[in-house]
Amino acid sequence: MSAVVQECRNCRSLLFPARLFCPVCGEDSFSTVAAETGTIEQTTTLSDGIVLATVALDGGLRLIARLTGSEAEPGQSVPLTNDPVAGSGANAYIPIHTTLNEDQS
Amino acid sequence: MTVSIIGTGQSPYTRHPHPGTETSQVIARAVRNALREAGLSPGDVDGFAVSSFTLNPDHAIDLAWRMGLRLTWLMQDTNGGASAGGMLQHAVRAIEAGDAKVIVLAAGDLMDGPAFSQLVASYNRATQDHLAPLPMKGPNALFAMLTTRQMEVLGLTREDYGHIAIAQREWAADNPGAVYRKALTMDEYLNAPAVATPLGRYDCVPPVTGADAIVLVADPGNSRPRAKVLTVRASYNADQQAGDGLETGLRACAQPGWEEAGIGPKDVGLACVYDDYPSMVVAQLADLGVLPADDHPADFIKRRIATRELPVNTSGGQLSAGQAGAAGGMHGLVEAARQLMGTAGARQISVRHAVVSGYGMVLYRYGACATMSVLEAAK
Ligand SMILES: [Zn+2]
Repeated sequence: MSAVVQECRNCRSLLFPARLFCPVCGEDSFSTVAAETGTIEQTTTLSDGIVLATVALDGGLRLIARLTGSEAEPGQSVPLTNDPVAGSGANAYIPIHTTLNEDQS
Repeated sequence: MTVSIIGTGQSPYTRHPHPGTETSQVIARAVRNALREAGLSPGDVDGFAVSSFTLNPDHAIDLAWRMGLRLTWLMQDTNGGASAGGMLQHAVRAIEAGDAKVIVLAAGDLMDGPAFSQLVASYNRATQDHLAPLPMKGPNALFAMLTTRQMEVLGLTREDYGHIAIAQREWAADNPGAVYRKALTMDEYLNAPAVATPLGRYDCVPPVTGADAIVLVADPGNSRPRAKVLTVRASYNADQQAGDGLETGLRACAQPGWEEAGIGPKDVGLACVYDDYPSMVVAQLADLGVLPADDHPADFIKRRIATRELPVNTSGGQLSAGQAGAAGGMHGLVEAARQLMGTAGARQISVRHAVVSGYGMVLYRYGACATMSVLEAAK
C-alpha cells in the first residue's frame, strides 16, 4: 500500500500536489514515487465523524488525509494509500485524480 | 504616497438573498453607495477594479459597461481575502502614474447555499483533486488543524480564541450591517456545535451575500475627511505551502510596510485583520508586530483586545458581520476607512492610524496571499 507523490528528478525534493517547476531548484523534470508511510501530526474530527489528518513524510512533505479503518493518534505512523477503501488497520487516504502527472514520463 | 479613500459603500449583508438576486446587482449597489458618500457620480469614475467569485460569466468590463463607466484603467483580481489589498496596491500606483484619477474598488458575491458549495468544491485544482474527495467541504478542517498547531506553539486555549470572537461580537452590536449582533457568552462559544475540532460554530464565518466598495482619488488636500493610504504591501506564496501556516506572508510585508508608513505597529489605534478564524487574527497581529514577539498572546488577547484598549475588527469582523465571498477582503478596508473618516456610527472610535490586512487563497493547506495596508485619518 502506498500513495503517489511527485519527485524532482534534479534535487529529489518530494512534492504534493504536483508542481510545474520545482520550488527548490527550479527544474521542471519530475517522476512519480510511492510514499509508504507518514506520521500523523494533527487530526480534526468533523461534525459527521470523519477524521482528517495532517500527515508528514520523512523529509517534511505534509499531506492532508482522511483516516480510515481503526483509530489513530498524532505521533503515530500510518500506511498511506490512494485507495479510499483500504484494508484493515488505520490508514491515511490521500485522494488523487487519475490524471496526476499525465504529462510526465 | 498621495492617494486617499474618500468614500465607502456596502450592499447590506444578508444570509438569505432574495430569489433572483445577482452578484452584479449587489456589487453595483455597494459602488453606488460609495460614490454617494464621496459626492461623485458614475460619470466621474475613470478607474475600476473588482473581485468576485460569482461574477461568471461576466468580467470586470461587463460590470463596468452595465454601470455606464468610461474608463482608462480596469482590473479584475482573483485573490479572495487578499484581493482588496492587491487592488489597492495597483490602484494607488495607477493614480500616482496618472493612469486614472478616480478609482472605485469593489468586491462582492452572491453566496447562497449552492454558490458556497460550488465555490468550496472547485476552489482550485488541488482542492478539486485532493481535498474535496476526502471529503472536505471548505477550509474549516484545514484551519482546525492549523489552530491546533497554534495552540501548541503559543500556549493558547479555546477560551483565548473565545475572547476574540466575543470582543468582535460586542463591536457588532453597534454595527447595523452585521448579521450576528446579539452578545455572545463564553459558555455559548465553548458549547457551540463542533464544526471541525477544535473549531466550533463561532470560530467560523457565516457566508453572506453582500458587497463592499471604496472610492480612491489623488489626495484632495485639506478639504474633506479621508483615509490617506500610507503604504500597501503584498506577499504571495511566501513559503510554497511547505511550512506550518502559522506565519503568513504579512511577516515579510511588515518591516518595509511600517518603514514606508513612517509609523510603527505600536502607533496604530485600530487593526482590521482578516478574521476567517480567530487563530488567523492572532497570526496576523503577530506577523504585523501589533502583537509584539515578547508579549504573551493569551495575555495580549485578554489585556488589549477584550478590553478594547486595542480596537480589533470594530465592524464585528467577518466572524460577526459575515463573509461575503471575495468581499471578505474588502470588509476590513471599508471599516478602517469609515473609522478614520468618522462615519462609523455608534461604534466610532477616536483613531488616527489603522492597519488593515488581507489573507487568503488556500492552495492546499493554508492561505498563500497576504496584504498589508496602513491608513491615516486626514481632513
Ligand atoms: Zn528540484
